[in-house]
Amino acid sequence: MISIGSEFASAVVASAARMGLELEATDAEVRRYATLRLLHLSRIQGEPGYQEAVEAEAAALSLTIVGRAIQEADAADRELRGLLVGLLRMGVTALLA
Amino acid sequence: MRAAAVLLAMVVGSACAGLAARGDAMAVVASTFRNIVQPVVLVGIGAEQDAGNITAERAAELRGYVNVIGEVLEGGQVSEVGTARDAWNLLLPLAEAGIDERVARGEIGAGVGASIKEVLRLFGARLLQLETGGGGPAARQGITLTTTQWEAVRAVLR
Repeated sequence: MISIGSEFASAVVASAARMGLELEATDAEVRRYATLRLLHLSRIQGEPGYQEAVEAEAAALSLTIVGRAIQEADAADRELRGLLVGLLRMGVTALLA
Repeated sequence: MRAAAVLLAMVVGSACAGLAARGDAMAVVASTFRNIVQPVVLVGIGAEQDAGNITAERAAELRGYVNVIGEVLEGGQVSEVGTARDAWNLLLPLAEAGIDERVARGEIGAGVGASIKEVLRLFGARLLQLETGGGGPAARQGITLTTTQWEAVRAVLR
């Protein structure tokens, strides 16, 4: 479980870096937070409205990751959010496998 | 499980390869507001009105306040992000009550409610940061409130 959480956190950090996002929090903080949120999602999987939680957690991660203002922000935000939703789904699936 | 982790890493690599754009704190905060926070707040206001805790007029005022936050975050002709923070402090209890109500009705699970509240928490933290974090996106955009918006804010705060 810890391995998947670590992979997920690494994926989130790598995603941010490759998109050129400047981390607001430290790398370690983002990793810790991402792992915690993934674990939370895996625990509530199957609850009513679960998809809302996935969207909410993706938003929470976005808010944690982003740094300063730059061009093409809206497009980047959409890309990041979509990517995080996908990562969260995959991470939960992997955790529960 | 290991295979899943490898697959995860592969997907990330391919998904990121074509992304050259960079993100913007203001855009993320604004889209979070539009997509998640605003609907939650509106549900909370509606629930309070339905329960008879606030009048229709007050509910309308509060909805106007929601709009003020949206306008501030969208960077229109608005000059004070601090106003959005004040509005948020007023609306947050309603938003949380709305979430609790949905959990109580069984519409969402308690864990889902916790996830949504987590976004509310981070959203509030970002608003505070936008106000006080000198040189942030909002400051650079010269955000100012119009007189009408100020009046709306004052009316709600009374």
